[in-house]
Amino acid sequence: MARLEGEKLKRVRDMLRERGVKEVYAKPVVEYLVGLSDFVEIKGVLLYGSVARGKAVYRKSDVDLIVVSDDFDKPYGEIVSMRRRFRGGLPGIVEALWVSPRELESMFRGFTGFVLDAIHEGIVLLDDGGFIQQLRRRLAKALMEGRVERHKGFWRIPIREVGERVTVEL
Amino acid sequence: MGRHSVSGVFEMVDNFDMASSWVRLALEDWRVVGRLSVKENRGAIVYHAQQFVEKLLKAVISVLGFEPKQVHNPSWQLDEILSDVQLGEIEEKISLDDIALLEDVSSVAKTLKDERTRPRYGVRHASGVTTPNESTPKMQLCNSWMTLGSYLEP
Repeated sequence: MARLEGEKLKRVRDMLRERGVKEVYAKPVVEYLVGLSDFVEIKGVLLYGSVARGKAVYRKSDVDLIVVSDDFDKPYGEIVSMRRRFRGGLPGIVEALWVSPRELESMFRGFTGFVLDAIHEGIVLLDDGGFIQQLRRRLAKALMEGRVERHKGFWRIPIREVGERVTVEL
Repeated sequence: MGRHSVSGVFEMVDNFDMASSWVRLALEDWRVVGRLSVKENRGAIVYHAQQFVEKLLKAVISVLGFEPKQVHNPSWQLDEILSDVQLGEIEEKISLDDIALLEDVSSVAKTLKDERTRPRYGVRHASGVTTPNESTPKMQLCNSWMTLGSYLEP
């Protein structure tokens, strides 16, 4: 496995600092990613939720991450057993969704709210190959073209009348 | 239903796909409730009844084009949406009859969930935890189902 270190790790730290993430949250994020990289090849990382928005409440908020790796392209049962094996040594404050690029794409196209939130306003800490940024551009384009809307924290497919069936293409 | 590629990845979804997924999940809870004994599993009945209504409400919210937020009290989300439609903050035509029906749905859901007034699994008293009323959950479930069913039927 390519342990997260050197220039790549520096980029993660720099991004956390640049975006003003407090050390009390940045430190476990780094520890989590370095620890996890002993087991899987991490391709992308998105920090989202209250910590990313700067609204976290000390000792109450979790640190929400989406970690993308081809090594997570496995049946859900295997992911669960991976979590049981690896989770012990990783900081408990971090709540991470482990997904393969394929699954993230599927959740994105499936109009899954928290994934859209993360793509839209999360902090991209790592993005080998630019996969996450590509999703972000697609979402921005869909918003700009009015194919999806944002209303008071909701994601919305703009339907004009109740009973209308509208497909969302992201 | 959603259109899938050979690999099973969603190609695209629509508001009806989203709603039917929630209805499918809700019906799982409905079936569990049907198998439980009112005498022996009161707490579990109320838990699944709440889940049933929560998921049906998320189906209704989806039909209206919104992705339901990850909360357990979607009736408040529905209220917010209906209010914004009536205030003209959302451009979506909903007839007054439909608004009245949806407000009824929200109200029934609130009654069943007993939201924000008591925990849905029961209330702790000096003598122990008292689970919710024995007979109302199933009765209210039926009411909710009939009300929602009339809305969701094509």
